[in-house]
Amino acid sequence: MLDLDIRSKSFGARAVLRDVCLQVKPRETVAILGPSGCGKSTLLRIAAGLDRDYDGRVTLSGSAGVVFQEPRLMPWLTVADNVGFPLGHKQGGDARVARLLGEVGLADAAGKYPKELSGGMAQRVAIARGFVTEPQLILLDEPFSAVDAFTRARLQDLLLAVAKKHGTAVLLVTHDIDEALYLADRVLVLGGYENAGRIAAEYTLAAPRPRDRGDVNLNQLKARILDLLAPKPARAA
Amino acid sequence: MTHPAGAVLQAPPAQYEGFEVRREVERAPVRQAPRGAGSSAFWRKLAARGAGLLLPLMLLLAWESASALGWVSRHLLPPPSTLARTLVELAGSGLLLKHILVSTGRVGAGFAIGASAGVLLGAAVALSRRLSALLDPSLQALRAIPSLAWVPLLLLWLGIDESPKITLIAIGAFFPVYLATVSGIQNVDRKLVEVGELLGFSRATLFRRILGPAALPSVFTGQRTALGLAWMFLVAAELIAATKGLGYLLSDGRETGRVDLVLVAILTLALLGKLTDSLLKFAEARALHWRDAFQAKE
Repeated sequence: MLDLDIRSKSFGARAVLRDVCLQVKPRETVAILGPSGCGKSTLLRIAAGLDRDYDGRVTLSGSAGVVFQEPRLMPWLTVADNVGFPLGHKQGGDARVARLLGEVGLADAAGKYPKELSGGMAQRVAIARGFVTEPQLILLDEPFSAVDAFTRARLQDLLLAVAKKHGTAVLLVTHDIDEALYLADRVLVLGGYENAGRIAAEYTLAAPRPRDRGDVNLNQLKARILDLLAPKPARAA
Repeated sequence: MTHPAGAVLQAPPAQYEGFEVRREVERAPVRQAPRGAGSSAFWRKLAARGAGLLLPLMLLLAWESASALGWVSRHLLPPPSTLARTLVELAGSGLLLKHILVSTGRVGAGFAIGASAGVLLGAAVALSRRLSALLDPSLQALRAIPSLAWVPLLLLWLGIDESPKITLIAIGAFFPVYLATVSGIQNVDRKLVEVGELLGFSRATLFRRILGPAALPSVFTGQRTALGLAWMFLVAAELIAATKGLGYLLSDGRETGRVDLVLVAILTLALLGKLTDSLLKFAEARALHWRDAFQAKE
């Protein structure tokens, strides 16, 4: 599905990614987890083809949809036309648009404009837009980080439902450990400090979804990841 | 039986391990408040509309009384009542309408040409770095010329017909629209542009579907500035060489020593300027209804 091998990526003298290698298989959900500034958004931009200035190679078989941290809706288009944006100009009447609006629970808001939407509603429109072309892979860049905890939980369930229904593979970038553990089949941790820009760990999660947000095993893994990402005291020379 | 919204549950709280429920409100349907319509809203709206008229009306009143009391010369500053008579005479003879139509036609043609060219060249310069390098320095240099300096040249080149007047108005209308279009496109949120890049948009598609609509608010602002300038340049052109139009009425009034004619022409120009700006403002509000912008409170 997606085969990505980045030997290095830097902004000026600063290297942000080193030897990052990852594959996403069809229907698989992969989360890339890491602290702010670890290069995970850059990784997603490379996967999406928005950033071509790197050393390495990316192969994407099939189409990809992208959902950003902000909804990035066109303010002059209605909700329906925004969802249909990838299909062409004013494609809000397309059957796929109506179906997806139903799936994200916005069938009644089809004629509204972005200024009339709450943050959670706008992000649901963005998710619907990401799925409207029926891509084989959807890339999400911290898609729920700007909404409150209640909305976030609902949007996560929504994402799971829509991705499952369409059989879409998911590559999700997030700094929220709970989110990664709740959603993903596989979690890749991009390290900080001495491991900045490298994959510091990879976990596979076999638990069926939807998962229990208070699951004891997941909490143990969470503690482990937190420990992994914590700064290590420097050893005395 | 229904509970009022927010009533506290009377049932004994349930017991849990680790925490205790002391109280929880029952969720009742929220009652809709009646829509606050009524006459007060109407009067407030009218007052807001009328606020702009207050100052001019008081001025007119002061002017008329100053003239009646002999504080100012009726020859140099005829009172509003005399102006009204002149206006009625001019309107009755059909002369005023003729002048208005001629002037409006010139402004319309010049503005249409200048504003279209401004949008086209502005978009081209904003979209292409090569065109920008080629055109922008020259256009900026031309902009530095005070537009009225073109008048003698236009008269020499194009004669005293309609064409020099329309050209001058077009030059005046061009630059505000050009600048607003360039800056409008250059200020479009990069995040929206990326949505188009992801979809593999060509430059033309990017302009049609993202950059153009996103730059529209700025283009409208430029057009309104341009329309004001178009009227200004109309007067300049008609003052210099014209046999029809409101600018001609101005110079005719000056030559025959009729201040009332001059003032009526000024008044008509003000009204026409305001009217055309309101039309543009209305079109702007219609086209940009989606905009989530600041609106001042009453």
